[in-house]
Amino acid sequence: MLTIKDMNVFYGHIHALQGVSIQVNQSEIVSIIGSNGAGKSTLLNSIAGIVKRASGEITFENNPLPTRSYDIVKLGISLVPERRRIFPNLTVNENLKMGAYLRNNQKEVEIDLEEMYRLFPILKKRTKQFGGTLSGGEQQMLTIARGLMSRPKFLMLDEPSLGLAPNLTEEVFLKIEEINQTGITILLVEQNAFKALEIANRAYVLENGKIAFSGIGAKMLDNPKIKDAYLGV
Amino acid sequence: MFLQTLVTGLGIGSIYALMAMGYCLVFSILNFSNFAHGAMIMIGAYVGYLFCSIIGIPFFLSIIITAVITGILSVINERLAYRSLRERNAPSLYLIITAMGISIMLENLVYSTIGSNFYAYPRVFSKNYLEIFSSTIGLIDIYSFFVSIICIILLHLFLNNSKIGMAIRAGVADPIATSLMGANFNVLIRNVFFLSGIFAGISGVFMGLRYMVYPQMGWITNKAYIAAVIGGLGSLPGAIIGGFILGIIETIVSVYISSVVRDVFSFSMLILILLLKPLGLFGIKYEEKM
Repeated sequence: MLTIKDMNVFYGHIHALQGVSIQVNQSEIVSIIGSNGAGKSTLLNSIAGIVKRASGEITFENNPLPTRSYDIVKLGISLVPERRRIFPNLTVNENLKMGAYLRNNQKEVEIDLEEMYRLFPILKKRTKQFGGTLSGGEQQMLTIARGLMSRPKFLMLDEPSLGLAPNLTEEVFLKIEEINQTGITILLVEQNAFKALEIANRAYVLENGKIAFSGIGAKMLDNPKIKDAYLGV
Repeated sequence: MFLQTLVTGLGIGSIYALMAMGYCLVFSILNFSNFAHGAMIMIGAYVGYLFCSIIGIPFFLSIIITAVITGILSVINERLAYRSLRERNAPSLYLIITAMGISIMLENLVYSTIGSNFYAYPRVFSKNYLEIFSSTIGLIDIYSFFVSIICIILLHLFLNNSKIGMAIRAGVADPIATSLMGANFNVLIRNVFFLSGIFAGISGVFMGLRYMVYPQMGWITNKAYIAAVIGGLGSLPGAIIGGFILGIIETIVSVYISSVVRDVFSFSMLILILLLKPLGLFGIKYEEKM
């Protein structure tokens, strides 16, 4: 579905991504793990078009990926950004409607709003509340729901468990699996390597801007190198 | 006497509020003070004069035409002068300096083409004053007050009920997340500049009507900038309330103390408010929650 070939990204003089190639197939969950500053977020941000890539080819459904973020969203790619980035001055309902910004069929949007409230019942009680007043966990649910409001085929999640209590982390991962079961392909970036590998079909390990390993998610859990470096066992 | 002072204060204040809203809209989304706004107000005064006095179109129709013209000019200003800076992620300071440059350029453009003459608007109202409770109330104060209130209400409806308005509010809080939703940030900016240009045109016509039309009149709008800072740059309700507070205080000082110290009062108030509340009366800083 999505193929990246030999992508390079620079921040000034820092070579953030160095010849990264990955592939994500239809209906998979693919996880990218790695330590802080390895370039995980940069990878997602450059797919979403908010970070410019210096070189490399990205194809989505066999077509080259456009570079403007709004053209990318139109194709059915959605990024749930790191640290939530909900709109604090908009209500929960408006936050969700922003997710459906490019859709013009109001009726369908209303149906999907109801669907989001069913999927995330926590939000239902908060529809008129400003996004900034929600707790961290509620905000995370809201960003995921907002990311789904564009009806993506391909959903990218950047550190969805960041700053969440363990029981909420558990809930977020359950939701991710539930979303995947509806046929949406998922590319997940996580610091919580154990959880990320557990739910992934396949995974990549990013180290200092380069892909260090890749493989089947469950098998990587047993890989001694990964155990040592990322799982802390 | 007091009623009269208050109405004049509200009249002037409403124009300050209108001008401050233009500063505020741009500041809230791009985080820089668009000092070219003052020059746009000056151009609005000239364009209004052209339609109202030379061509002879009815006053309120002239206001509308002027507003559309300055709206378009403001969009062109953004497209030519600011966009390339924005796309290179230039610091706000560069945008501010560019805006000052635009303002000086426009002022001198008017000098060299139209000249430095002062022009006065013709009598646009059949009667200039109303007698209420033995006070003389200026009609221009009443008109400017109501026109401003209508503009404020329309802006409020636009921002709260339209899709683009919602995206503009989202863009104020987080431009990158707004782009991730598929909004074209340049389109949002274009809308913001069009609105700010509309307010510049309307307030320019009223400024010209109240005082005179001349090339440096844009500098008066520094007062509107004070109003926006008092209210908290980037806060629309702040800009509106700041405008009214400034207008009323200025008029009271001119009437009861002396018009010579009027500006001393305005600027002292600015300094005092910034000392006590550095973000202004209604300034907000969004903090992220972890």
